[in-house]
Amino acid sequence: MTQRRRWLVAFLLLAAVEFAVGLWVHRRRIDDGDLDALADTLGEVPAGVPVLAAEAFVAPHLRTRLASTADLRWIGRPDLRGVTEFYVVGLATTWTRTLDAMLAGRPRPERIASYRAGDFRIARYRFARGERIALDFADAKVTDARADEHPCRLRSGRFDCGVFGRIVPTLAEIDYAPIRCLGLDVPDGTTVALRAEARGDLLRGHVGFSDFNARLRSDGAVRVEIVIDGETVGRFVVTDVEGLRPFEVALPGDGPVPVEIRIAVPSAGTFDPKDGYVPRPAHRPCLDARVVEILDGGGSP
Amino acid sequence: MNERHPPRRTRRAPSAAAVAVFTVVLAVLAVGGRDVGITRDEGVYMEAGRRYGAWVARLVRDPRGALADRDRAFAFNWEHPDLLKTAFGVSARLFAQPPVAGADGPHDRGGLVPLLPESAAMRLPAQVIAAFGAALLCFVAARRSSVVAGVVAAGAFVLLPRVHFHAHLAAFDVPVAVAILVVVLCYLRALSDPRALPALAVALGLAIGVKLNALFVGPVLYLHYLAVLARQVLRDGVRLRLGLVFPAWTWAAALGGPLVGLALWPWLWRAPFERFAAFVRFHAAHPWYNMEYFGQNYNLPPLPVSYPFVMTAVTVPATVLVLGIAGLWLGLRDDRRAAAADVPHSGPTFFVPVPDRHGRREGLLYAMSALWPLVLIAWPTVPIFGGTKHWFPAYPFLALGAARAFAALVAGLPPLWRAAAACAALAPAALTTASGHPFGLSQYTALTGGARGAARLGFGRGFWGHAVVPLLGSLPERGRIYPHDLHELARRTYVREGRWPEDLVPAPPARADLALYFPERHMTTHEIDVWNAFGHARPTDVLSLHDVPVCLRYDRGPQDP
Repeated sequence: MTQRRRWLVAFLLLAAVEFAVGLWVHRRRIDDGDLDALADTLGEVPAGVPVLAAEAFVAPHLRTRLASTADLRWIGRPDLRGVTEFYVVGLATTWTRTLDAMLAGRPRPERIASYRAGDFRIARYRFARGERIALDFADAKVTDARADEHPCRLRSGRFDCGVFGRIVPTLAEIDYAPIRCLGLDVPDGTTVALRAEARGDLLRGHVGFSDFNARLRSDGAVRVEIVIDGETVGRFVVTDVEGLRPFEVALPGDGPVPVEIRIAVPSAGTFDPKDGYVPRPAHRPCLDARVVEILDGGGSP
Repeated sequence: MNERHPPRRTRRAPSAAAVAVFTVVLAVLAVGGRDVGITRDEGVYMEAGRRYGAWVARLVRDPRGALADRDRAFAFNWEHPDLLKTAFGVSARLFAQPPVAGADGPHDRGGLVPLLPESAAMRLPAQVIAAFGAALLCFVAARRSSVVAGVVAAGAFVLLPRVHFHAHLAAFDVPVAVAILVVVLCYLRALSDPRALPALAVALGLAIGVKLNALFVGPVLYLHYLAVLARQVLRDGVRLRLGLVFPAWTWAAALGGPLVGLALWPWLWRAPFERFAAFVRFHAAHPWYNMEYFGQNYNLPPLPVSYPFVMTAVTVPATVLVLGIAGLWLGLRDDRRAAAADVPHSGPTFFVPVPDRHGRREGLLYAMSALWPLVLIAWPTVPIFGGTKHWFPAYPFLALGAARAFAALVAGLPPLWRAAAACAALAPAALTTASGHPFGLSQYTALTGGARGAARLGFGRGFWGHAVVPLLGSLPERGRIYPHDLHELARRTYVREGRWPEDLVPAPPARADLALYFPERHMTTHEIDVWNAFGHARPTDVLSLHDVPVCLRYDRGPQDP
């Protein structure tokens, strides 16, 4: 065989491989039958047990059929702290690097079951040590809030701080993801203090800025201070280039303890090429904070 | 058989093949165009087309009044040259059906021969240019080697998924790629034949009239010419003269091209230098688009230098890419062989700077033409422009390279085997393109894993809010809708064509009854706004390309799955 013919054969092999792979990948895999099978398999998952999509593009399909995947409280969870057991649904895999990041320092959970539902792969995972969320700051009912020492009144699920603005439980876009958090709609220079008393083993949370367009128009930072039982245990500055900045503080765990998170917001507005600094659109800080209780011997969610 | 004069049938074969390619490509685009939604930019260009078309109609009736009043028509969307938008408008004046009763806007009587929906009529000129580009590639490659190689050249261009998508649109990206191909071919001819100088001037002027990419061609051609000249001076001992440093073709391009461009750009006529400077300033300070690349959103320059090269690798099927690169390399090798063999018969002159056509370094020209559009986008100080369409001018030369390599691979095979090899060469691209239609903007190559693979790797899903046509039939007759990235002018065009209910009006999420969302990483906030406003995150409908969502519909109200 001449050199030219060898090249031709190699090229035709490449074409054959690309065509065959194309037949496999250029087709729809998720259809109504797959979604029905998925709903049959996971429809009875108890509330509070997250069902996560391994691949982001699968999530909207899941949300059409599974109530647990469309639950705004779970969509907005940035990590798996406070979770004992969960399900993952995917097409090609049931574990990804995104899920590794969501472990937030916990050991990787054990896969206790695997299923198929149509073309979907489903895995059920359980952590060796169970956890539950004892208190979520985004649940405004259990949080006391002040803005520059001015008490904020709880009205219709949000804190009204008068001239000092509002503190609003919300689902916000931070670092291109939906995050359930307390949005701080406060004027420049305000320091917000959020207080609660909770029994738990650690305080886990995040601070970030919403939304995308505001982040383009401001780099304003906030200063965060964490006070446990009257003692400052953490102080740091967060900027939006950090995305969703995590924090974690150990709690005594032997009884209810006062937890306070203070956030100083020097500049809440954005910069506009024409008008300079403007209060709207706001470069809005948002706080996710949860008191997590570690359950002995696994426990139930 | 007389070897110097091949039979008439053989001589006509490239032309016949080009005509066939033109006809098939135009038919495919015209038919497939109905499935392709109106993109954001098209909505604007179509509105410009209506205004420019009305101006042309007035020019016919009342030339003096139209010429005096031209700025009012052409001020709209002045940031792009007028030529194609005028063609869109004239095409609508000729072929568009009248808008449905109740739809507002100009030009309500329809065209002279109302055969097509308005958007289809507006798209027709760009589709004709795309088909012409494919035919030209076929003709050039067929003349050089064989009709089968010509078909490979045409297919290696129009069967690229992104090119195929854009070729449907009333936009500039495929037309400017074709126009630049014509400019380069005219330049090549003009090096050895002064009769091509007027064609070069006209071609460059037309290209400038299409899109700003054409402004970068001149320096590339001159760099190529300097390389040719350097070899003449260094190898052949040609004496360097001013007439050879700036030969006739440079004057035709530098003076004739801009003059033709100006003649085709009525917006510039009143204050050419001032308005052209404003045009350049607009694009130099162009707003940055958002580009998702390996899971990261880029909206501030510089993009990674690798961006256009990797995006080419994941959107151009491997068979075409490998053939194209191999062919460009073979072209460079052809140049070296020609250089070793050729001795010019007469000295270069001002009008004929490269008397021997084998000394034109054609391979180098094609390689440079295939490379500069990517290098330009990769350049760290260039603003972040949109997607792969911005280096489309590279692809016709990649296609010529593919034909060159294909011809080398199949040399000596019987005709039937050559045809079968051509089918094999183009089959992966055809499959990828056909299966991606009408969402070709979201399509990726098989070896990337298709749309799913690209989503896993973190490449963009698409943009421009066009992926909506399959949902149009299920929209309610009245109510308020959050249209997200669907441009209002695109929506108005759907209304004019009766494809969008007149009483379904746009509203922000807080006041909307239903919402559309076109997934893009930096648009996440808009979907979350809908969730917050509607109180749930359950889509009513998920429009997807091979499972990767390209448009979601949400409805307000109780949403228990």
